[in-house]
Amino acid sequence: MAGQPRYPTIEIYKEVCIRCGACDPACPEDVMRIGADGYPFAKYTEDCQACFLCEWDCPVNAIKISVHKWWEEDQPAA
Amino acid sequence: MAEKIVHHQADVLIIGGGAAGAMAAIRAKECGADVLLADKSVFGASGCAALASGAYITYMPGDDLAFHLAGRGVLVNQTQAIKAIYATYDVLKILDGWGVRFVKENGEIWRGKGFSGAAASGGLAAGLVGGGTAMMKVVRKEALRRGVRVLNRTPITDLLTSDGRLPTAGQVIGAIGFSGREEEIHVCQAKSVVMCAGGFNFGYKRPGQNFAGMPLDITSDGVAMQLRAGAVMGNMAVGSKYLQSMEFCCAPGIEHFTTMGTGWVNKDGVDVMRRFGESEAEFTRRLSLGHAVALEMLEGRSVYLDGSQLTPDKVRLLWNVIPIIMQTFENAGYEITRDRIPYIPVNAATYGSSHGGGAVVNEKLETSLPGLFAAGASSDGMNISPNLNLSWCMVLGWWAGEHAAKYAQSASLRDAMPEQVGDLSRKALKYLNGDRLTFNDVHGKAAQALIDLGVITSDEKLTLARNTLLDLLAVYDKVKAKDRHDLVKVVGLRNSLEALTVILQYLLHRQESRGSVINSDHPETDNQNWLTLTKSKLEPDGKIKLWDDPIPRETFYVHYKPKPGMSMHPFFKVVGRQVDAPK
Ligand SMILES: Cc1cc2nc3c(=O)[nH]c(=O)nc-3n(C[C@H](O)[C@H](O)[C@H](O)COP(=O)(O)OP(=O)(O)OC[C@H]3O[C@@H](n4cnc5c(N)ncnc54)[C@H](O)[C@@H]3O)c2cc1C
Ligand code: SF4
Ligand code: SF4
Repeated sequence: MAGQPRYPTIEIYKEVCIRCGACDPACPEDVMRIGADGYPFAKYTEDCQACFLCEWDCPVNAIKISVHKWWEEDQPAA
Repeated sequence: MAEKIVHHQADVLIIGGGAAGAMAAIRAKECGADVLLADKSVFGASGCAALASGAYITYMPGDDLAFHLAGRGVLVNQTQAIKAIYATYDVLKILDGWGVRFVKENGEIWRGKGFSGAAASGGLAAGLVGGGTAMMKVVRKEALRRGVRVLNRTPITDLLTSDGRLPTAGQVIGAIGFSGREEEIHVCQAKSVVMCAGGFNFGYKRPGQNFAGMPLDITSDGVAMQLRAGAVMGNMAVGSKYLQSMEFCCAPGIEHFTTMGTGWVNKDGVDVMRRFGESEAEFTRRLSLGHAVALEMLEGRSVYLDGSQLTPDKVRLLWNVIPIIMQTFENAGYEITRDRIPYIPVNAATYGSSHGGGAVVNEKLETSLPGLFAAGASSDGMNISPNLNLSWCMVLGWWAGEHAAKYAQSASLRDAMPEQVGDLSRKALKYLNGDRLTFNDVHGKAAQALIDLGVITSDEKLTLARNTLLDLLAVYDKVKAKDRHDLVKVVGLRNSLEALTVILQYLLHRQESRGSVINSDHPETDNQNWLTLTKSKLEPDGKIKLWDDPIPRETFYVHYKPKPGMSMHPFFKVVGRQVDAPK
């Protein structure tokens, strides 16, 4: 939808996460924080640049970053 | 202030741990210095280097030097460029020795001609397996193994000077920054400082955008800090305005698909590069790609990447060396050999990674300020190229580390002036108590001003954009940072705006169109008047002085005649001198 914020989506699968903490220092944009329960959460999703560094550094594939194809809507009619 | 002041001392302080900073730190350590590296983000995961594709542009023994030189255009220092070209291979061997993985064929390092890389230059590139991301992990490990001390999530905000002033008439004695997480100010004293905080970039995306093509933490900090300190800056006009794909790693990366069986087509399937009459089957130069996209856009068409001719081998190779882009394609649901993938042009002036503007450095990588060295995209790179990419930044960093360590041997630590520490900490933290403006308010207005520059700009548009940015800077003290994370962004955006106003001043000064700068008031690439290096300096009265220096061009090695039907570049006519390349 044009005009809507279309940030990347950050999914963290708690059932898979082993609470190793690697995704926080993996993120160049300071998006991730480790909560009191030891699980990470995306605190600043609006600054996620969809670079996948956290996803790749997670040892157990507990993170999934998704991008939106909003640019297709902004193209001149093909 | 509830802030804790943390003091550090080191022989050499490196600001920024990207391509240049990492190499500078390792080399300075090897030369016996005690090294502290401060990174705004996380050393090894930050900056352009960690997001870079794996095109390591390199010379190899037996190569034709003229080929490596030819792509750099005419505004370069040939003598230094030749040294740097040879050194790319030395650094490659060092990296290979550390275990950085290059694509190999029968045990030999493979190079792709399609990896033309940067703005104006062509070159042969080796392929880093896992891109810059994987390389930086190895380099970080080497740095830590050697005992480089690291401060992560600590943006440096300004240089500290012996006279306590910015701009300074004295020397650089360290730097000050704050923690992005803790309530801490960091005061770093050092015998020499190497600025490696990356290139010019209008950081951060607008709300609603996905990937902006440049890492969001690169906000021209190095350029702005050196400007404020009164360092002589150079080359800030060249390559500063660019069309790029905002979604898919506009920076060197996407054009690497060409020569591998891909092309750029418009909606009718017509190869857009052909219109520029270039042999784009051999090279897609970013500049001509930018121009081709601009032309298509002006005519109301969009441009697509067509990968239908890619063989499975080539797709595998791309996954090896351009992982972020390939992952993005996959994640977005595209199949590169099946789907046409749109190229989205973004606003002007987000371009920075390969920007060759920054503090003017001599062959020892010294800036005009005693005690301050610069390397990578924060420097003008001795003017070896109109753009500075991965391998050249690493070479420059390596040299800077060595010279900064030598300098430190005969220098001593100086105490920072308490007033300067107080002033600069207040300046950095004041946004926590700002007023009603938000980051998004200012960012949105600035972004619009840059978009309004358009594909084809003019003196009027440049002036308008500059005035808008100056107006924003005049009210910038009213910006409120919500928390420390936001503070990092707010401080960074201010740096972007300060650097941009100067870049626009350069663009207005150089009355010509060159490279990515297309100005309808000055349509000529004016080699009669502008074969010069434009420089600037912030004067104590707060005004920026601009001037033009000649570019040393004693050695211009050319040993080939134009091919049939081709003509030599105007430069050769201007210089009127042809010599054989050295063996
Ligand atoms: C997506 C992308 C792909 C690219 N692909 C290629 C490629 O395939 N081949 C190629 O040759 N080039 C490529 N480049 C260009 C190349 O990555 C850059 O030219 C190079 O990394 C610049 O090196 P640098 O050390 O000057 O800056 P960077 O590598 O950007 O490092 C700057 C560092 O400074 C830190 N920093 C910033 N501000 C501060 C501050 N205030 N205080 C402390 N630290 C700070 C940053 O966190 C970062 O660690 C690419 C660039 C991008 C963005
Ligand atoms: S994709 Fe990149 S920016 Fe986004 S959360 Fe992960 S590491 Fe951070
Ligand atoms: S890196 Fe993966 S396993 Fe480790 S804390 Fe983050 S999500 Fe959990």
